[in-house]
Amino acid sequence: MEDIKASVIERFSNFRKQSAFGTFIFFFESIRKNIFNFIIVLLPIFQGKYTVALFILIVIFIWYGSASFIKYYYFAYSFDFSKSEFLVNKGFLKKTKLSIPFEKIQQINLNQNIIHKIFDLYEIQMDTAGSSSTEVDIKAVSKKTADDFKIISQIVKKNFDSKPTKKNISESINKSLKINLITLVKAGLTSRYFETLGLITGTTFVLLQYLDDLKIDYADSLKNVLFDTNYTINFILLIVLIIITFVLTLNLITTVIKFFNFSAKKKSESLEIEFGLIKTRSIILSPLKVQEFRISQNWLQKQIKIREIRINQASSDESSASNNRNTIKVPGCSLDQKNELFEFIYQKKTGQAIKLKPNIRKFIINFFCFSLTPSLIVTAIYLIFPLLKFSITPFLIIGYLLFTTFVNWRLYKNNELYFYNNFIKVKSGFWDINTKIIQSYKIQSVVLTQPIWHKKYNLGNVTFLTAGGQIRVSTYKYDLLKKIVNNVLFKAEKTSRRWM
Amino acid sequence: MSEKFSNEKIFVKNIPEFENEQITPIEKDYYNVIAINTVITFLVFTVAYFISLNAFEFLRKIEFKLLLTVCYFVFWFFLFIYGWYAFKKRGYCFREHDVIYKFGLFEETVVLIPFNRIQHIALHQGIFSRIYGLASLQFYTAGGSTTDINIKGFKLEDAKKFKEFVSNKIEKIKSK
Repeated sequence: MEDIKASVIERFSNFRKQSAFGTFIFFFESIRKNIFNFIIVLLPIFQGKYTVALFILIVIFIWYGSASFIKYYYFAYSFDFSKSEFLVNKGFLKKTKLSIPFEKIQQINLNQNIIHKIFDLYEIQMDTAGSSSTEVDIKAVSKKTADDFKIISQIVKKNFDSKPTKKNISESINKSLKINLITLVKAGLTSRYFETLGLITGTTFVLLQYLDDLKIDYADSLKNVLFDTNYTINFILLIVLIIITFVLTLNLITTVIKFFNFSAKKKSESLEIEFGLIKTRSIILSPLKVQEFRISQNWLQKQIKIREIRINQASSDESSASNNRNTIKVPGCSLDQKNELFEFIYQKKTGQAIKLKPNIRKFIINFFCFSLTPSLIVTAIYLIFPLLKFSITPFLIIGYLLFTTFVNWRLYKNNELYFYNNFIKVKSGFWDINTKIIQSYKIQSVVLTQPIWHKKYNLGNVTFLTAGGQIRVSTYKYDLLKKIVNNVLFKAEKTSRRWM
Repeated sequence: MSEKFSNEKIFVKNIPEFENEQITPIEKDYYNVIAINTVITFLVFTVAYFISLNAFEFLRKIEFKLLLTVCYFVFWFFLFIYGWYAFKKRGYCFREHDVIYKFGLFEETVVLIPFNRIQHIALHQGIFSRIYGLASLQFYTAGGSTTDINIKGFKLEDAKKFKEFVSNKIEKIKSK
């Protein structure tokens, strides 16, 4: 076994190309991806010019063919086992050198699609943590290389697993968190108003579009209904009532079906979560992977003392499914349950904090951009052009101005940044007040920005990014933000703890 | 969660402050690359502009053609000026534990990435950069593509040196 390993190490230490048949893989793939471009070929065919069509077809084939060959020819990979790195050199006009530490390679998959099967080739897929996971795929290698990769994958894994993971959860086993039906009903009735409303509006438009596509003319009948209706106060109230009932019922039903029988069982190092009425889903939450802890509570939920919790785990791949697998929602949590969850994940309380508020200019700028300016523009149009001459327009403008001012004021008032010893917390929102908490040492990068019009006032914005969720605040005192950034970086850089 | 105000306990004292670091500006030669790129884009757009001005019926009818053309060139003039000043704002700094990249004319931006969060590094060399012997370094993190900084305009040997430097740092962190 060791001999095989040694020979593999030796062979893969030099840069090597993919299988030459890889050209075909690239070729078929690029044709599959750009199949719509072949419509150009159809155009001359319809006109009866077959030679032109053939010519275009040949040109396209040569184009893709040479592009595929270049793609194959200018791609070389190797392993630097002494440094534990995977290296890629690629690019024809734009040369790129990549080096990926073994530690970041989470999985090595061997795939085969139909074309691979024809040529007896394999695709090597390397799952790396983070954004650019697809960049390091080796599209075509021979059977033998694929077998070698199995051995390499062991070497890489050994490198990865050798780090001991700390065990510091001894108690709190077999405890479990349950959400009962009544709480679910409460949560269903008090959450996601705007999302559902938006969803309904969206669906309505899609339906209208669909009718359009089917060439069903609904415009006239819609116009008739709109203009013939007698808009009394009662009628409007009835419509509003119907919409509210619809939204509430929809929310209630979806929440109960989705989260029915919600339970979270504590195991020594993870939390096993199960829920669902029709389709039971189970998710395993491991505290190490948690990047963001979010609490959401609106005014109504505050009155009945429930809150929704969302926990984001680091995602190892970019596929759309990852979003579902790595986000855990707990509807209708009590304060105790929240604290318990928090302490299970972080093993500590947050402690003392420094509380920061945004500058009043945040409100003023938002007020000017989103309340005053649009209102003034519409007023100007109303006064100058006969376009919007309805008796209701002035009321709408005033209504819009008052409402958006209120929203902006709430957004400004609710915005708070807390800086703890080990955490960063941010509160924001208009109706649903979101509280996001991240661990300082788990940040991936920090972005500070300062627009020049804020320089004079010493104001700026900051974004803390993690592998699953980010915290952003704007129009805060820049000096303090810098100080916080320095502290957070210090925590992230001095620690040797793993962030996932 | 008690939230009393106590400043000293939470902020660690005597830690390095990034705002005091010396920011190294980008290699002057890189402005040539930017200029070449801008000129090429300018030429392509200008040719397209004049062709379309004469080709399309509705554009041919426009009466304020001269004004439009003047505006068009003024726009490009400002774009060139913007390019120069924006270029002068770019700078980087490699510290012991992280990399700092600074850029932005209207919105000054500072991106900070600790070395122990870097997934991998890529060295790119564009076609015009190669003429001037320049290269760019791209740093990838798990924080998402929005902050995967791409510092352009290193001398090739500098880029290689820095890549080596950061790779070694990552290596050291791993072996800890």
